[in-house]
Amino acid sequence: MDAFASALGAVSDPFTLLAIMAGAVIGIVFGSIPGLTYSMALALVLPITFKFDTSAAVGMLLGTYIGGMTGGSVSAILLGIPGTPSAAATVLDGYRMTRNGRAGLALGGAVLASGFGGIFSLLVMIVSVDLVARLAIQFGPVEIFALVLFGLSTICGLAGKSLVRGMIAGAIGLLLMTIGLDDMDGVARMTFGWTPLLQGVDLLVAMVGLFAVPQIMKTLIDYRLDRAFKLNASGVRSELPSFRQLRNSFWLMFRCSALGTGVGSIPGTGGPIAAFLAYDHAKRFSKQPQRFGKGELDGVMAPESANNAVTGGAMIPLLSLGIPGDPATAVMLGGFLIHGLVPGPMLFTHNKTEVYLIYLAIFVSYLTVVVFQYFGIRGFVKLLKVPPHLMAVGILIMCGVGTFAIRNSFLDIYMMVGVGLIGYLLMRARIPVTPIILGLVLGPTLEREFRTAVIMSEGSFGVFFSSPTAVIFYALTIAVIGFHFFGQMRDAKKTRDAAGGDKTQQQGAN
Amino acid sequence: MNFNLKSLLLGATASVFLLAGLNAQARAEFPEKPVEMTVLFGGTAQTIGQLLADLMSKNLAKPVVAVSRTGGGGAVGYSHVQSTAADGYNMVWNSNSVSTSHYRGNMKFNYEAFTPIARVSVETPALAVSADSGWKSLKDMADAVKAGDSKLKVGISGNGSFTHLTSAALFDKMGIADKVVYVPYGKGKAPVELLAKRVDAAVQWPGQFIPHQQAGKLTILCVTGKDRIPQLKDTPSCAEAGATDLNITMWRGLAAPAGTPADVIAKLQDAAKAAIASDEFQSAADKIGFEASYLPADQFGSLIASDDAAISDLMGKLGLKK
Amino acid sequence: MTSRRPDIMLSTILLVVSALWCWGVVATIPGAEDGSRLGARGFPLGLGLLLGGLSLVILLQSLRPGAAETASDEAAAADVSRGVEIWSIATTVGLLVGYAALLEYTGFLIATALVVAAAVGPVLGIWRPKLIIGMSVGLSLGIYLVFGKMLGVYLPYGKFVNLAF
Repeated sequence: MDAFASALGAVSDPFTLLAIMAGAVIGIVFGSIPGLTYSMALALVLPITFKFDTSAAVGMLLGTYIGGMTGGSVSAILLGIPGTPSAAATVLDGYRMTRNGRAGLALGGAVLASGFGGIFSLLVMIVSVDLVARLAIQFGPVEIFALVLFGLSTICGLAGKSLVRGMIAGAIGLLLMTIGLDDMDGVARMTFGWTPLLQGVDLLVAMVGLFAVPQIMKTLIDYRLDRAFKLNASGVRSELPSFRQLRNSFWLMFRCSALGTGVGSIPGTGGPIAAFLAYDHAKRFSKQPQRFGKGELDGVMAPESANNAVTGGAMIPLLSLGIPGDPATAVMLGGFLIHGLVPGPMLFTHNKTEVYLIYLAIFVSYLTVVVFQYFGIRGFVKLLKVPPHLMAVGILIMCGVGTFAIRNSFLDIYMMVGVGLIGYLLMRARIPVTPIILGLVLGPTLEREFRTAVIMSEGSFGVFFSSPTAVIFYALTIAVIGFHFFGQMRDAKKTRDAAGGDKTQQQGAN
Repeated sequence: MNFNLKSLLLGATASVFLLAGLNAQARAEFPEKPVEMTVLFGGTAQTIGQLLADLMSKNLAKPVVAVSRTGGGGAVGYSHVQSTAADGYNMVWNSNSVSTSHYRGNMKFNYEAFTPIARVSVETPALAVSADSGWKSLKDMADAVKAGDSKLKVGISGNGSFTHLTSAALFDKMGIADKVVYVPYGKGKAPVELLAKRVDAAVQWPGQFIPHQQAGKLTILCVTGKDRIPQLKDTPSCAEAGATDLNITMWRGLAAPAGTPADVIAKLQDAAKAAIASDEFQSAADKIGFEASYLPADQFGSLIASDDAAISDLMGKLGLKK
Repeated sequence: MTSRRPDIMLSTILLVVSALWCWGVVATIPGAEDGSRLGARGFPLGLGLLLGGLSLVILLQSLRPGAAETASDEAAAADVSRGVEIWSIATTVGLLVGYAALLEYTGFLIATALVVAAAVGPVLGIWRPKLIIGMSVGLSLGIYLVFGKMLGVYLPYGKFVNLAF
C-alpha cells in the first residue's frame, strides 16, 4: 500500500495535476479537429515532457492520449466529420442528431459513454492485466485475420439497401490502401516509379477527404439554392441523457466497453474496428434497429464507449509486454522509456509505484475529459450558430492545414481533394461512403496478417482453419452476411408484393 | 458582429510586427532561421530525433525543428531533403536505410546525394529465442536446426529491412541459411510472436527483448556487432558465439543535401557533438537502449560508404537488389 | 426517374477502373518473393478482380429487363440543377488545390489569408469588407498563433515568400 500512497502523493502534486489536465485539453483540441489527431498531439507534447519529472511527464502523455480519443466525437457530432478514425462510426447517428436539433444530447451521451468506456477498461486493466495480456498474445496472424474479416462483415449493416454497393465501397477502400510501399516486401505498389507516392494513402488524409470535402460541396449547393439547413441554435442546450436513458443503455455500454477493451488489447487492431463492431452490435441487438442512422442515441453511445475502452485495452500490451498497438502508443512508449519507465513484465513487480501512478493518471484524465467536455458542450454547440457557408470556409482551411500536418506533405492535400472528389461522385452514384472507411481502416491489417500467416505455414492455406478462435470468427462472419442476405431477399419480396403496380412508392432510397 | 472589428484591429497591429520582422533580416551568421531536421520514421527513432533537435537548438542561434516526413521506408523523407537547397537549413536524421532503400529500387539516388554531418548513435540488433526452447547459445540453436527437419522461423521487420539483412548474414555464417523462413512483422510485433511461440527466433533491437529476458521468458543469444553492448554485458557478440567476424550495427546520424558549404556543416557538426555529449542525451540513450556515439563528418562519411558497399553486397547475395 | 442509366455508367466506369488497376498491378508489382505464394501482388490483384466482379453484378442488374423497379434515383438529386452542382464541385476542388499550391510557395499566413478572402468574396459573393478582412486575417493569424506558436504544429513554410514572426 506504500506504493499506492506515494503514487497518490505524486499525482496530487499540483504541477502533475496541471500537466495531466493540460494534456487532456490539448488532446481534446487535436482530437476534435479533423486532420489533427492524438498521434500528432502526442508527438508535439513529447518534447515538452522531456523536462518534466516522471509523474508529470507520464501524466501529460496519458492525458493527451485520452483527451484525443474522446475529442474525436465532438466534430463527428457537430460537423459530420470525424476528428479521429475511431470516431467515424459516431458520425452515423451523432450528426443526424445534430440535424434533428439534438446536438447537446448527442454530445452529452458521447461524453458519458466515453467516460464509462474509459473507466471500465481501466478497471479491467487493474484487475486482470496479466490474464488479458496472456489471452491477447494468443491472437496470432490467423486469429487477427479472422477478427478483421468479421469486422469487415459490418459492411452489411452499413451498406443500406444494396449489399453489392456496400461491397464495392469496401473494395475501393481496400484498394486505396495498397498504394505505396509494401511494408512486408519493401516494394513499390502502383506508384509507377514516382517516389512521393511511396508514402501511400494515409488513413486520416482519406478520411478527411471522404467526410469533409463532400460536406463543403453540399454546403455550397445549399447556399447557392438558398435552402441552407437552419438550426435553431438557441434551442440547443447541453442536455444530458436522462437517467432512464442511461439505465436503458447501461448494458449496451457495458458490452461495448468489454468489446473495446478486448479489441484494444490485441496489438495491431485498435479504435476504429472496435467502434464499428460496437455500432453494428448495438444496431443488431436493438429493439428498434430501423431507428439507427436516423439519430439514435444508442448509435452514439455504443461506438464512443467502445473506442474509449480501447485506451485501457491498448495499455495492457503496452505496459505488460512493451508492445505498442498503434502509432500513438508507440510515441507514448518513447516518452515512458525516456523517463526510465521500462514497460514489460518486470514493471508490475519492480515499479509498483509507477504502475499505480499510471492508473491514477488515467483516472484523472478521464475525470478532466468528462468535466471539460460536459461544460464545453454549451460552447461547442455555439459553433452551430456560425452560418454553415462561413463554417465551410473554416473547415476548408482546417482540412488543408490538418492533412498537411500529418506528414508535412503537400501531396497529402492533393490526395485529400482527390479522395474527396471520388467520394462525392460515388455518393451521387449511391455508393455508401462508410464502408470505404471500413476498408481503409481494416485493409492493411487484413492483408498483413493474411500474408504473415501464409508465410509462417510455409505456403499452406490450411493454417487458416487450424485455430478454433478463427473458425468461430469465420462462422460469425458467415452468419452475419447470411442473415443480411436473406433478410434483404425477404424485404425485397415483401416490398415487391406490397408495391404491386405502384412503382413510385419506393422513392427515397437515400 | 463585433468580432470582425476586433480581428481587424488585431490583424492591423500584427501585420506591423510582421513587416518589422521581415525587414530585420540583415546578413548574419548561420543559422538565420530555424533549421529543419526531417525525421523518417515514427516510434523511438522519432523520440531520439526530437530530443536531439531539442538539444542541438541550445547550441545554435536558431532552433532546430524536427519535422516528420514518414512513409515509403524513408524514401519520401530522403527525396524531400535531397530536393531542398544545399544551404544547411535542411538536414535528414538518417540511417543505413539510405542504402537499403536505394538498392531495393525505391530511391533513384544513393548516399552520395548527401553530405554527412555527424554520426549520432549506434544500435546493435540482437537474436533472441524463447526461453522454453532450451537453447542457451547460438551453437545450440544452429546444431538443433541442422539436426532437425523443420525450418527455423525467424521474426524480422520486413523483407529487405536491416534486421532481415542482419539475420541473413548471421545464419549464413552459421551454415543454416537454407533452413530459415523469414517472417516479416512491422512495428515491433516480433517479440510478441516469439513470446507466443509462433516464431522460433527473432532479430530485433535489444530494447524490445531485455524486459522479457529479465522476466525469464526469452533468451538473448547474441548481439550482431563485433563487441558486446553496454545494456547486455553478459551476452556474447555473435562473432564470439561462433559467427566468425560478423559485425553488423546500424548507425543513425545527420546529413544535408550534397554541396552544403563546409563551414555550415562544421557548425551543425559541433552542435550535434555538444548535444550528444550532454547528460540528457547520454541518459536517454541508456534508457531507450541505444549507444550515443559521435563521429565527425569525415569519418562518418567513410563509414557510410563502407557500409553501403557491404549492404549492396549482402542484398545482391540474397537476391533482394533491384 | 429510374436508376438504370446512372448505374450503367457507374458500373462501366468501375469496370474500366478495375481493368486498368489489374493491368497496373500485373505490370508493375513483382510477384511473390516472400514465400507466401501471394507476395505483394496477390492482394491488390484479388481486390481489383473483386471490384470488377461486383461492378459486373451491378451492370447485369441494371441491364436486366424491369430493373427500374428495384431501385430509384436519390431523391435529393432530382432538385439540384446540374449547373449549381458542377459549380460547387469545381469551386471546392479549385479552392483546395489553390490553397495547397499557395501553401507550398507562399507559406501559411499569406496562403490562408488569400484563400479565405477568395472564398468569402468571389465564391460566396459576400462583398462585406469587414467580414472578408476579419475572417481572412482572423483565421490565418488565429491558427498561426494557437497551433503554430502555442502548440508547436509545423505550418507550411513558403518556398518563394514567407511571412513569419
